[in-house]
Amino acid sequence: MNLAEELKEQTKDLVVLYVEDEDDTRKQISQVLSIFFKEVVIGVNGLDALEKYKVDMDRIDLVMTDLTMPKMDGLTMIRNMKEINENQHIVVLTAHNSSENLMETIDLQLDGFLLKPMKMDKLITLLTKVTKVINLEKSN
Amino acid sequence: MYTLNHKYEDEKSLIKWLQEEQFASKKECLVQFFCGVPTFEMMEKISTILTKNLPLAHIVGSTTDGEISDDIVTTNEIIISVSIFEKTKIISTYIKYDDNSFEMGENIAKSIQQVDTKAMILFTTGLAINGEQFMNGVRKISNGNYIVSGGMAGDDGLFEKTFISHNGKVLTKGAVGVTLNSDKLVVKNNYQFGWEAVGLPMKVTKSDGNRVYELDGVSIIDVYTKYFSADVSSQLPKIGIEIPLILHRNDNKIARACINRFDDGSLLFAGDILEGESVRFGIGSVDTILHENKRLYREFDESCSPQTLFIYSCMARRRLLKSESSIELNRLPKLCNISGFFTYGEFFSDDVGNYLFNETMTILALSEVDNIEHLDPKDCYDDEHIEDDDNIMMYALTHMTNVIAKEWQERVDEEIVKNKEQERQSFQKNKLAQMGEMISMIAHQWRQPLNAISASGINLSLLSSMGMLEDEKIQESSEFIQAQCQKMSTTIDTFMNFVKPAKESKKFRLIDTLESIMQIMGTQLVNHNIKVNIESKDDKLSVVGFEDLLEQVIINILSNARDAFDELKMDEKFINITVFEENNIPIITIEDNAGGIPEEIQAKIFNPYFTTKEQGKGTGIGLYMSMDIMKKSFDGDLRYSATENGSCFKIICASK
Repeated sequence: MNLAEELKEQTKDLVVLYVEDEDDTRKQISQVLSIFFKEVVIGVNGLDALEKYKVDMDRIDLVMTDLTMPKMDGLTMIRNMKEINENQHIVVLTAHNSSENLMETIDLQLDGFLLKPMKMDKLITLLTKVTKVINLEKSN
Repeated sequence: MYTLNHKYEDEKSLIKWLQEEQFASKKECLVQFFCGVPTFEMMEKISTILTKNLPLAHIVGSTTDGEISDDIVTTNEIIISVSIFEKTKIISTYIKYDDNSFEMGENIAKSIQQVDTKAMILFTTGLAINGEQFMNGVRKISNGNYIVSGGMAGDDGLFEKTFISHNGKVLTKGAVGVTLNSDKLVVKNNYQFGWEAVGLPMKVTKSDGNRVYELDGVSIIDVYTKYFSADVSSQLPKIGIEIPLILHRNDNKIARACINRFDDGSLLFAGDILEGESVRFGIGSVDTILHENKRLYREFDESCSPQTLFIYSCMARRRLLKSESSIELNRLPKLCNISGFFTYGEFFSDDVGNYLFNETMTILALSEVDNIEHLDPKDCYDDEHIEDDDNIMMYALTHMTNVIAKEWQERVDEEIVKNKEQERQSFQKNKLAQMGEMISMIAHQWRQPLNAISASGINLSLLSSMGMLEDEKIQESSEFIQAQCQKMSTTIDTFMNFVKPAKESKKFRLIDTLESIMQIMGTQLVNHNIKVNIESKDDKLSVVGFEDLLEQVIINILSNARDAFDELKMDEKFINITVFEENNIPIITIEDNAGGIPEEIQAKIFNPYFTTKEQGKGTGIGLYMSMDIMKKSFDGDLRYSATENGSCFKIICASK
């Protein structure tokens, strides 16, 4: 069994909220995520995602989000989510050398970062690590 | 030929002298009389005596500001100078002034010039005639074919009434003229100046003929007062001859003395001063005059060995040199007779033109023998150097003034060079900043398709590794990747178009310019959460010029707005761009709600070196450069106004 198949074993019952404002990227990444996850909930910006989160937060195991977005940026959205559920697992996708101040994310207890453009092995490694923890928590 | 002089004492002794010298029997006899008693009666008396006793002679006379007889300078005397020619034919005439000095010059020259004319001696009355235009009129006829000499009559410094006369006729307004016509006559002329130019050049900004109103945009009397003090300027025109204006024409230094002042602050000069001409103040000193003498006499001696010298010298020299006036004459060759008078303006000619001079001593040298033994300059003039304390001080002060002026000018020039260098550097810096801005825009523009392509690759790879990849998916992804690459390629094209150096000047539509800017900046602004509305009242509005320059201006304003928004947390960020026409001039306004520019720095935003950006963070070309572009390349302007919650920039494109 290869790494991807191993990951799918871990993620096949999980729900991810994926937040990205740019159409083409969102379409492609969500296709990738849907290979693994049971369900991919889409947010097109921070505000939209926060609203969907409020409705579906019990179902959502993992949030994967961009940072630079209109209406509400990623950091604001994350703070809001952490207020609702401080244990929410969150992975940030961000551009290398982007202007966001990543120092601000230290206190937010995030589960990891992925640099855009993404590399498949990094994606798989990170998701494997994070979903292992999620599954452990769920089984308890 | 020869010349003899007689100082008038009474009628009897004059007649006796004329008879003794047997002038009446000479065929070609030129009589000049220089009358230091400036009255009509005296002029009439002398000319009548001469005409009666020398009926065949050509007799011309002028009132003076001093007379010259050999090396003696007199005032209020009457000198009669008789020249007898052997190989020269004399023609003479007079002409009345008819309100047109130029025509008077043309007419008198026409009536006495011959094919073999070698010299023309002209006297005009000294007041109310424009000597400069008179000379120009003469030049039209003389055309440089012969030497023109003479001067304008004086009246002992009174500036009230001057007279000239011709064969018994006395004129109050007009000219008299003599031509010397010969194959054998050798004629040379020269002049001496000796006035030292002091201070910086000034531009004549308003003048009318010989009346000057402004130098460098300032009333001329105020300029005199500024440099010479009110005490001195209040004595104009009396001291005008001592502080003339000096100008350059055809390599000749020409001085113009002030001869009258008006209540409006303008001054009348003894000769035209043209608008746009550059002038400096002149200061005369005995030393500078005599120093210049020495050099010029030497030149003069070596080129000519005259039998007769006529001197027409400016009243200013006599008044300045005073008792030393004769020193100038001492230095002339001693082997011939000298006669002449002090004028209110001297006539001179060279290859290029005829001139009215002031402040000079003009010399007309005549000889009917073309082979005279060469004169050793040492025998001809006194070489003693005149120096007294006054002259040294004068020399020192003149020198100091000029050194100060020169140093000041050098410092100003240095500053100008420094400023230019600074401007160049800041332009360079702006250019770099602009490049940086462009690159950051490309980065923004490319990031999304790169992410999408990468994700598409991951997608394929994952599906493949999990055995879920279908042909259809490969097709779909492949097309997607190609489309993304096309998008990126278009971005490059658009940017290349932007950074391409110096597009040609052409007519372009403003709405097209804005749309192409949005193509490259749009994503960035959207990423910053800024809503851009473009409203065009007329899509056909167009401007002629370099489109890329206008693009830079607009991009600069948009980037400034973007940066201003960056510091704000707010929901409704907008930039409203409006294209419209106002009084037939195309206008773009760019309005934002980014809080505006603090009032205390509003006045500074268009200054060349003003920036609110940290070192290295400055983006775009800057507002100074933007305004400069609008003014210089579009004949327009760039204006700022504060709105309720932000800024509004008005780009005025006048070059339609």
